[in-house]
Parts: sequence; structure tokens; C-alpha cells
Amino acid sequence: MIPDLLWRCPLCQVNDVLTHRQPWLRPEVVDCTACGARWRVRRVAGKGFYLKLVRRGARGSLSVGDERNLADWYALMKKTLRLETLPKDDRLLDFPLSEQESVYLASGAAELWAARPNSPPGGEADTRRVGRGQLFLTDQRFAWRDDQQQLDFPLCQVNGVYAVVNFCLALVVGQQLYQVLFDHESLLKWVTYAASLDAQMRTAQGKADGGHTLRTSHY
Amino acid sequence: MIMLEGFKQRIHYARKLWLLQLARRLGGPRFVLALARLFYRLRIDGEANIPAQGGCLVAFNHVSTIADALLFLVVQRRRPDANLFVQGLTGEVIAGLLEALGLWQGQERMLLTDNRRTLAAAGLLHARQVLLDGGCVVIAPEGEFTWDGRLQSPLAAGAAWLALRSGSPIIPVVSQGGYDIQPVWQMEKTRLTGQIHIRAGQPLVLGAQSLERVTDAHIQAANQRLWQALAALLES
Repeated sequence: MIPDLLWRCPLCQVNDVLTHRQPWLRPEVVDCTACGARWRVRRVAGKGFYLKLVRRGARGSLSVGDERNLADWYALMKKTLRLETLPKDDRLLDFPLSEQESVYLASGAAELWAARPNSPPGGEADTRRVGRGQLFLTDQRFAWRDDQQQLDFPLCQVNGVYAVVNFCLALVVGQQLYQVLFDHESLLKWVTYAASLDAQMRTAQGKADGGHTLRTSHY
Repeated sequence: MIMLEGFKQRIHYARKLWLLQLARRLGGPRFVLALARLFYRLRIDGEANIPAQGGCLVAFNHVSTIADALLFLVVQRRRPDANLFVQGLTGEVIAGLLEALGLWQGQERMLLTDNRRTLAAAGLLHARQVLLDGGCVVIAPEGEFTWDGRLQSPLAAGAAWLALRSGSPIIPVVSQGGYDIQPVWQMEKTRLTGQIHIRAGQPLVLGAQSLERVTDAHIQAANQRLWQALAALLES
């Protein structure tokens, strides 16, 4: 759905607040549950999707009637991107943090699958289900928490973060491949945060052209 | 690489495949192309730019499984020996679709690669050998589906490396119109109307001979030319 791409409201700049509805015999709409903005979705065969602002939200300077290609709304959304830490609320109660560590993303329910290290591509039997739990992204690591296991993947060991179609998030840790199947999360949001955090860390460490490289999907 | 069995998304594909299998029984690829002309007003230009023989790399923009499968079908009309170079999971989805279309049996013409870098090498070396032996390799140089419908940048290194290390020409082929039929953010839904236009461009020769050593600078320069060729075709 469109919120998998537009995972942040381009007007009020809040994450995970857009909803996409496709009512029968009526135009598709995208709503922002935070600022109240509404877009009507128009599909033009051969050209893509266009979103027209039909109701202004509480924030944003765009006027009603502003229609743009979906890719242009996505570009506008990306311009508003800021890495914001999560408040330490109930979601993080069972997730102890080290000193000066900040959490940027906490997923809802998800499944973690792991491939055997160095298994050849296409080897179905080499994938096993690790468990059902939650994934976290901090400025130091990806962390997986479920009832039985606690796995930590320091960012300096994560070589790749990919959105695999709209199926799952692939994490390449060393040569180990993990796949995370979220119930309700934008894969692009995770890719964007991981890439942005990596860029921020490289800048802070003065390693713009060297050191560990994180490869990600396009975002 | 990835096991799809048990993944909830697989169910959507499995339900759709019976329709394709029916189309296959009714007439195979020709019938599928006829259906595509009817439902998607399919147009094909420049098919003759795909060489009927000799090593060549077909580079296409990665838009949706439907558009990609039709594009592959067009390539296979010219090159029945075409091999598809894909990543594990995407490969399984596309292979299922192509098998249902009757384009191939099994996965013998699929060259699998992997996000894990050391494992990507085996797939690349295999593909290079296919090109050196005079075969045809079909590859999506973007590396993954586009999320917003636009040609992605930068391109992944695989297509450029293969062309430079084998000395094979690259045939840019683009499909336009597949995005609004099946955008990646809604893969479970395939619309039955639309307009798909497939265009094959002039061969792009990066070098008369294969390079012994390929540097990042070579890849970057080659990718720039390839991206421009794909973008120009999309705008034409």
C-alpha cells in the first residue's frame, strides 16, 4: 500500500500515520491520522499514480488541489527526513540500553528467519525460523528480542540492509543472512534509517570515503 | 537464499498462477502476448536491436513482475537461449511466473546471485562464462524493483562488470507502464488494464575487448552510460 512508500506524512512530518483506503466504487484515498490531511489517488494507465490534496491538514503550506505524481510526493517526504529518537516509553521497557545509546526504530510484531552462513543462493532447506518478536534499531546496533532469544547485530558488522520486494527486510551480518517479516512496517523506513544512521556515523568518525560500508536498497 | 514456503505473500502468488497456467495451456507465450495486447495494449519497438546470436547482455528496468515477464518473453522470442540473472528470492517469484507462462521448465536458465558479496561472485562468474560462450544474459542493473516508479540511481555493479569483463554489448530494453499495474508496494494486486510499452535500444559497446581488471572508476563510467541509455529510452 502507499504508506509502504510514503511512510512519513510529507506535510506534518510524522512517521507511520498515513493510511490508504480503497473503498468499492469510490476513489482511493490516503489519510493522515496525525494532521488530518487527505489525498485522492488517481491512477493514469501507463503513467503511474497521482495524489491530489483534497483536505488540508493542521500543518503544511500546500493548498487544496495540489496534485503531484507519487514519486514527487515521495521526494517531498524525503526532504523532510530527520533522524528522531524514540521516547523511552512502554515499547522499550524490556529493551535495556547502554549508556548514551538511543533508539530510533522499534517494530511491531515480526518474524525472524536466518539462513545458514555461506549457504548457496536458492538453498531453501538452509533457512530456519528463529522466532516471533520485535526488531529495534539504535545508533549502535540492530537488536532482535523475542521470548527466547536476544540477538544483537552491531552496526559495524552489518554489511547490507535490503527491502526484498515488499516481502521482508534482509539483514546481511558478516556473511550471515537474516530476513525480518514485519506484520505492519514500511521496509523503506528501516532501509532509510539504517542508511542515514550509517552516513551520520561515518561523518562523525571522519570516514566519508573509507572504513566499513553499509549497502542498502535504493530509497 | 530465502525460503518462500510459509511466507504469507506466497499465497497471493499461488492463487494467481492458476490463471497463468490456464493461459499456458490455451496457447503458451503467443497467447500470453495476445492477452497482453488486449488487456495492456502492449506495444513493442526495436526488437530487432536484440542480436539473434552472439554474446550479449540485455539490461532492463525493474518495474513489476508482469512487465518484466513480458519483457523477458519478448527477449526470448529473439533469443531462446536467454538466461535470467536474478537474486534468490526475487528469482523464485519470477521463476514461478515464467514457469507458469511456459517460458521455461525448471530453473536451468536462471543465474542466481546473492546480496552477500562473496556469494555474488559465483553467479557473476557463471554469467560471464555464458557471455563468453556466446549466450545471452538478461539482467536488471538497478538490482531491485523501483519503489516510486522512476529509474533508480546508482545502478548496481553487476551489469557493468559483466559487460566489461566479457566484452559483450549491452542491449538496453525498457518497459514503461508496468508500475501502475503492479507497484512494488502492492505486489499482491495485479490490475488487468493498463498500457505497457517495451522498447529495445541500440547496442551499447563499452569496449571492443574484455578488460582484465575492472576498477570502481570503470564501473562508475560504464554505469553512467548505461543509465543514460535506459533513461533516454524511457523518455523517447
